[in-house]
Formats: sequence, structure tokens, C-alpha cells
Amino acid sequence: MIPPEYPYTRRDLLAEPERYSYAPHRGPEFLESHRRARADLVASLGEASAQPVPRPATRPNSRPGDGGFATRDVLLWLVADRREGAADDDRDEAWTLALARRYEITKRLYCAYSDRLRPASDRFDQIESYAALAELTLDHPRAAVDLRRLNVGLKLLDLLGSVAPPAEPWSAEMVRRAVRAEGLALQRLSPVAEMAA
Amino acid sequence: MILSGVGILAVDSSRTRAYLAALADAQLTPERAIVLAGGAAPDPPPPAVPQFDAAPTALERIEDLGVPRTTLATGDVNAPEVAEEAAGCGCHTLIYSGPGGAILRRRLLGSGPRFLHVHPGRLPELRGSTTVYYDLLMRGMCSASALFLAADIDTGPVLEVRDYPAPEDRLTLDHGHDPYIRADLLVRVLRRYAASGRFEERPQPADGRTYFIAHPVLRHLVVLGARTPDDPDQEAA
Repeated sequence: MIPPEYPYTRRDLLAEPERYSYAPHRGPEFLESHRRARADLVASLGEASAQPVPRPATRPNSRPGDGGFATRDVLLWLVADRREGAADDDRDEAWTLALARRYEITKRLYCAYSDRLRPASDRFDQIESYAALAELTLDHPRAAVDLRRLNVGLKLLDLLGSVAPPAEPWSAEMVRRAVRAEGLALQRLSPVAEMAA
Repeated sequence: MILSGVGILAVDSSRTRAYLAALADAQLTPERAIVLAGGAAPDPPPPAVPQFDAAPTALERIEDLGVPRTTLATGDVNAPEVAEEAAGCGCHTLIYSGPGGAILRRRLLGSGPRFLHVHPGRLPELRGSTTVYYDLLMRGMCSASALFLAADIDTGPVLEVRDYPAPEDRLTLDHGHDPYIRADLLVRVLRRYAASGRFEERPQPADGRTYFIAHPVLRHLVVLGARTPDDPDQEAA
């Protein structure tokens, strides 16, 4: 049986955010439609790439709130650190959860924020920021334990599946890693997800 | 028994119907009711559930209980007329059963009465939205916390926290089990108030976790059956 179309990637979620309020129960087929939507997303990314994530010029502050910042720079620095095994766990956790919270509230990642984590830019279209936050939240040992991570990661991947795929191979690779990690976290959380996989 | 100084601020919802059914069963009657009956489009009637009789509307229940009521033609709990009515209702406490997801603004919170809310999750560990789903995913069970509302979400002083088993049929979670356990805890708190004439509260620790609306995939895992993370028995199975 062909599962119904996954409903959360049908429209451009950057242009028209999804709030997920009062989501109806759609039965076990829903999990299969989610799995297929993620497979479609990965297929749209092209070949896997070993190209490194470009490291921004400026190191992020030790925690958010110590000053204004460019979102893309912070997120790419954290991903680059993690890939090189140089991540500072406390800093990683503080930044990841703070930006995850921003995304949960507004369903957008603005290009820059003030020291009080208020948007300091009107732009929210840097796809690589969404891809980086998806990798940071999901590709982490705590993704299936701290459900704030898994929850925001699911929503970020919906957004990434609703827009044109990232152009740069290193950015596409972040999405690919996030999708793989999402699947592993869901399987760890529930035998139902395991059956759908 | 009339609950002296205690009223209810409500919309017609599964939660309000469960609250009023439980109060009627416990023979506890609020002194006043403020009913928000406006809004752009009324919600569909709650489905029948095994946990309580959800058929009578909130207004029918309130009339059966003989509670003096004011009906306001708004669905917005933060509308000025709601704060005015709360300020003049003569109650020191209003049981809060407003629209789902609404955040009370300072005008209403500062209108005079305190707002007694039952949150579906253990506080302070589970603050925020759809926490009943997170509770089931993390612990395989449900919980509820009675608290007085404060300006920051789910941070007010707590009156009681209680665990409950998961529902047998998880499809009844939203309209049956969740309202039912909240109503059960509400009655427990109000019985103690009726006996002692005061609410026993304690402040919450500042630390806590805030959760946002659970993604539909997580909700489906809850309904279709989930195990708790790191459960050694199930990991081995």
C-alpha cells in the first residue's frame, strides 16, 4: 500500500511556518509517510561529500547572551569543532539549546541575534544554519534522551524537506547526517519507529 | 459544598467538562463561573470518552450545579472584559480552564484573583506544551501538577504533583485521559481546601525544562506504543 503524502513538507515552511498545533492522529501509515519523506530528502541531496565545513573567522562566545552574534558563524563553528573532535560540550549544549528554543518559538533562525537573543536581522533564509542546527541537535548521544533535541530536529528536517536542497556539498552533508541521526534516535525511542524503518 | 472564594474561568472544552463532572461527583461547587463563549469558530464537540461523561456542555453543567455565571462573548482570555470580570467576581481564586495554548497576560494575572491551573506533567521537570506526550515517551506514565499561574509559563507555586498510569487506549489521551487526570488532581486539591480553608503551596525551583509542541511523529509513537528510553528490559527484548 502506498502511504499517504507526508503533510509537513508540502509547502515552503520558511515562507509559511508550521506550528504543529492540534495535529490529528493519522494511524501507523503516518510513520511510513514520514520515513519516505526523509528518504526523498536524502535523495535530493546528491552524492555524499567529505568536503569540510568551512570554519568562520570568529570563534563564538562561550555561551549565548555574552554578546550579539551571526547565527551561521556560530553554528558552523560548532559543527566544525564537533567534526574535528574539538567540541566543548558545555558550550555546544548551551548554544544548541538556546538556538533550538529560538527556532521553536519563531520557527525561524534569523541571520543575527542581539545579546538578549532578539532578532538583529530581518533575514532568516540561510539554509545552512537550519542544516547545522539539525545536525547539532540530532547527531548527538542525547538526542533520544533529551527529547527537546529530537523534537526540534524533527521540525528542522521538515523545513529542510520543504525547501530547495542546499547547494553546497558540505551543507547537504549536514542534512544527510541529521536524517540518519533522526532515524537512529527514533528507533532507539520506540519499537514502532523501528518497524516503520 | 460551596467552595468559598473559589470560582472558575472556563471555555467549553473536554478539560472543562471533565472538571465540572468531577466537581459534581465530589459535591464541590464553585462560587461563580465566568464562561468565555465567543471566538471565531467554535471547536467541534468533544468526542465520547470512557473516563467521564463528556456529553453535557460546560454551560449545562454549570446550570446543573447552580453556579451563578457570567457569559462573555469572547474566546480571548486576555480580552479586557475578562480581566474586568475577574476583578469584580469576588473570588480570591479562579480555577483556570481557558483555551488551550493561551498564555495569560499581566492584565489578567494582576486583576485580583489567583488562577489555579492543573498542568499535565511533573513540575518543574516538564514545563511547556504537550507534556503528557513527553511524559509517556520518557517514563511510560502520566502526571499532573496543580499550581497557581505566574507570568512565566509553568513557574508558579505548586500545590500538588501526582503520577498517573498511562491510558489503556492512547487514542483517548487528548480528550479523555488528560482531562480526567487533571480533574482528579483538581478535586484532590479542592477537597483539602474545603477542609482547611487554605491552599498549601510551595515555590518551584528555578531550574526546569521547557518543552514545545510535540512533533506529530513523537505523538504517533506515543499513541501507537512506545517504550521508555534506556529501559534495560525492553532493550534486551
